[in-house]
Amino acid sequence: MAEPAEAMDQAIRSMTVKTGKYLTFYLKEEEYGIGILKVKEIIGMMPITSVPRTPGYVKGVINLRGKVIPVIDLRAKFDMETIEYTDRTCIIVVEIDSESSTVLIGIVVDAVSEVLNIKEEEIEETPTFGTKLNTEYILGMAKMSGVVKILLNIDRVLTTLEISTVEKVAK
Amino acid sequence: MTYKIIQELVEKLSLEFVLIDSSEPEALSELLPILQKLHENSMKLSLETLPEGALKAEKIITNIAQDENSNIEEGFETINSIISEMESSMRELKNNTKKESIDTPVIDTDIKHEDIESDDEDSNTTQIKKVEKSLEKFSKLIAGFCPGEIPDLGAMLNVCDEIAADAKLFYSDTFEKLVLSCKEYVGSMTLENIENTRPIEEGLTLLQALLNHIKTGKDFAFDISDVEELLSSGLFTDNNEAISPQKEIKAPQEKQESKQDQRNMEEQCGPEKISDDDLEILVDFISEATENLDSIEISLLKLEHDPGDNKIINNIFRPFHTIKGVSGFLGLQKINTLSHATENLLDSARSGDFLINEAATDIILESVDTLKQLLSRVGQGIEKGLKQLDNDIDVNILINKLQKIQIRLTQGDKQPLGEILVEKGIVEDKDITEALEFQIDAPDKKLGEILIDEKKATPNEIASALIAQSPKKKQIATQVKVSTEKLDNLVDYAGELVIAQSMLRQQASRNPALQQSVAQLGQIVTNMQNIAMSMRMIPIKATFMKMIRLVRDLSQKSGKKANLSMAGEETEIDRNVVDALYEPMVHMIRNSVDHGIESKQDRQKSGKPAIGSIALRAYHKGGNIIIEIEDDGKGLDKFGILEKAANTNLVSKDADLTDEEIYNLILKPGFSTAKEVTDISGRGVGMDVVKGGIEKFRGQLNINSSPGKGTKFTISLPLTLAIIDGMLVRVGKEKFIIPTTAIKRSFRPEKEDCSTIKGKGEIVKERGSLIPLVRLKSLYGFGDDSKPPWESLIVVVESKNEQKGLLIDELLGKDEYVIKSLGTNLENIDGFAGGAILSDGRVGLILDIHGLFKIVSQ
Repeated sequence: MAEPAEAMDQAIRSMTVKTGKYLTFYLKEEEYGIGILKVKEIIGMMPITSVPRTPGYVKGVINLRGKVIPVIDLRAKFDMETIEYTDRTCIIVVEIDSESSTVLIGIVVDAVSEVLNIKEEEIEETPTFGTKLNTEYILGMAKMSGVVKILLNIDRVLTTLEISTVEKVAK
Repeated sequence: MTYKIIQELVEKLSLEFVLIDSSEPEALSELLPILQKLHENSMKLSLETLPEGALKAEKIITNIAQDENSNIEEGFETINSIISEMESSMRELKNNTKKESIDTPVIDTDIKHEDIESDDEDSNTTQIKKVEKSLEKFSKLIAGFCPGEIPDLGAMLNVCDEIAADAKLFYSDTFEKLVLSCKEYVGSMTLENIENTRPIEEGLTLLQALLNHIKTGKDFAFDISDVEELLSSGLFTDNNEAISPQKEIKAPQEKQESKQDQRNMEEQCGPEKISDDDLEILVDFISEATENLDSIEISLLKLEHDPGDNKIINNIFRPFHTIKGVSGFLGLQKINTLSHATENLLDSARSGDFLINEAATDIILESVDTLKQLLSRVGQGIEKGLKQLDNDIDVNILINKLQKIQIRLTQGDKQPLGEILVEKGIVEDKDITEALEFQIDAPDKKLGEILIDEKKATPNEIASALIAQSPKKKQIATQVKVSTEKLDNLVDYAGELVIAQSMLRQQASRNPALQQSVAQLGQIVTNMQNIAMSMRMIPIKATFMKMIRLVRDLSQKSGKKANLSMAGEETEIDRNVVDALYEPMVHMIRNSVDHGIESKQDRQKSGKPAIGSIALRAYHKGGNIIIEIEDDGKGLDKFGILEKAANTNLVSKDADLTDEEIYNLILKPGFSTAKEVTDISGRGVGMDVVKGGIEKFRGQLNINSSPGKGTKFTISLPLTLAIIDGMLVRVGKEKFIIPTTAIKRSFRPEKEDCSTIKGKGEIVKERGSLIPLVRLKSLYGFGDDSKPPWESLIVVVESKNEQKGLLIDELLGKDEYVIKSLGTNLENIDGFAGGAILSDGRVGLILDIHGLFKIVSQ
């Protein structure tokens, strides 16, 4: 019983306190991080079935051990130019809290880097780029040994707003 | 005798009175002697109104004669009314006696009630003897009375009625009154559970004394007020403590004796006549009880499927209880005892002592049948004015059976082996007794062995009897509630296992030893997948059972009787599909009863059984569940439908349609929304809803009908909503699954059949009809698609009676696919019903034809 309780604690902390473990990955030249508790698993590239009439960043669906889950290309999502997938290209399967339940979504990243322990004091508030920019999906910036890693609030990246766009396009 | 004299006197009186003029009141005095005679005679007969009237008239006349000032006219009027009253009461009296003589059954021919007129002493003594006998019976009943024995009380009431009826002929006020008080007391004993029998004993002694006096013809001056008081007071003060103790000690032996007596007497007495009051109650009782029994039958059938349901047992128990109560009150002994015994059995079941098993159900049903028989006898009796004519129906055997099964069930005991063997007709009673005697000498040997040794039975027979002996308690498998999510996961993994196993098999092709192991694995995996799939299945029985009630209600409402027969209730079907089935079935059954089954008269005219029949059938056929609803009604009216359809412009007047096409017209929305389809065919009302409901679950609805013979609806639904029968097709590099139910046909068109219509796109001519083409590639925007249609294949798909041709490159094969959601975010994309894992482990998209058409039309 201790394990789930601990997990809960950590989950709660991750909501309020930013200290914790982060999985970092590369996208273009930048390094990004996602809270480790959000990550279900990391899988290598596999055949993706594209689904017509969906926004460009929705790559399609894959078969994850009998379950069909959608896959999103984070490059496309962040309006970066897309590249051919290499053998370092990975799909990170994340668990996202949607309105009713938690859903699994795969995100395609250039490469997975490492799992880091980041302390609260190492994290800086997201700088305001100007009022017009929505930085809600950024949790903060981690400054570590001179490199800045962008910590993502993955729920924000992929939830309601985006989903409704998906639906709009679909209709 | 007196009666005749009185009548003459009354007639004379009225005649004389008419002759007298109001101007000469002196003439009235002439009436006085007549009145006096009338008074005397009517007193003898203890008629209430006559003596009083005579006295009053006398007084008025004397008044008029003495006092000239008195109002003569008023006096005349009063006398006039008195005389007419007398006349009417005389008429009444006459009627009564006549009626009684009719009421008396043939058996009593020797007892003439007209003995008042004929003044026959002999018949009077017979009458007295009869009353004497009844009183004797009454006293026996009282002596043997045991508190709470309703049947005994019922018998007492009967005897009281008998005595009262016979006693009327004595014209003894006192006697009659006393009998009535006694009856009242017994009645209240029944209703209020009074156990004190002393007042009634007193009453009885008095009655016997009175009867003795009547016999000897002496005048009697009994004071019955004491006893009357006791009888009526007994109703309120229940002083049974003083008497009941000793009574209770006596009761057990006596009760049996008296029951024996009762039975004997019942046979001696023969049919009893029914009083007017009873008649009405009896008629009510019969109709009510018959209805009750019908409800029992239905509940019993339900109970068979769910023996633990107390609600159902209660539903069965209550009618029996009512029947028992009322029949006891009405003195219908056989009905009473039988329903009592059945009630006992049910009561124990109700309190959870045991479950009603098949054998018990059979016996209860048997008792229902017997009760029905008894009731119909009572009904026949009413027509003839007699009570039960049920001497040939023996309820004791059945009651015995009921008691036996109750004991057996309660103790959970096995039926003795000997009994089973005798029942099966393998051995006879005496063989068993012999064998049992033999067993005393050789206690080690079992009965079966002895019988085999003596060659009375073969080992096989003994074995089968032993199997029958072991308790047939219905196996209620323990159940676990599992969330559907877990089940879905299990199904998912089982599917994956199949894929992984097939990959392994490909790699193992070069290693024979490994191949064998993989084959074994394959078998296990397939079994596992089947079990996982079956976990979502439930029998269709529950839905079918609901239809029984529906048919019953409908046939009652419409006044057309219909029986529902069912087959294949145990057929299993996906839980979601069951829910989906309910409404369409209700709709179709309603249609069948309302419009299919003809009225009783019409049915008889066309030589069909008066009661219509509706059959419900369920079975599996090629991955689908088929449900048939068939009635033996008048069938669909082809020409009527066609005419109606032509009138509403659904089809052109000169359209040449096959029977099937005509029947399918009733499923068209336009057809059914039309109100009042006259009597041609009210069917079709809401049939489009039915079709829609079934198609929503990828099902199909077929109609078969032959005029005058009936209509058959066939619903075909996929076994589960989780699996789809699909055709895998290739379009460019992509693979799609098209649901087989939507596919009509596929073909490669000729070049000259293809054409392009400006603004409408490409169409192809096929079998005389034009089919618009859909290019999936350009529709879904993957790649350039300029391949001419005659170089690709066309799959014609249909949705909501609309057909379109999909251009594809290759048909890859037909298979069953487990439908999976594309995830919450992609769920609502038009044109796709979901995804499925293909045999290579990739995800294939399942086309939603309806959604696809919607996109095309945009």
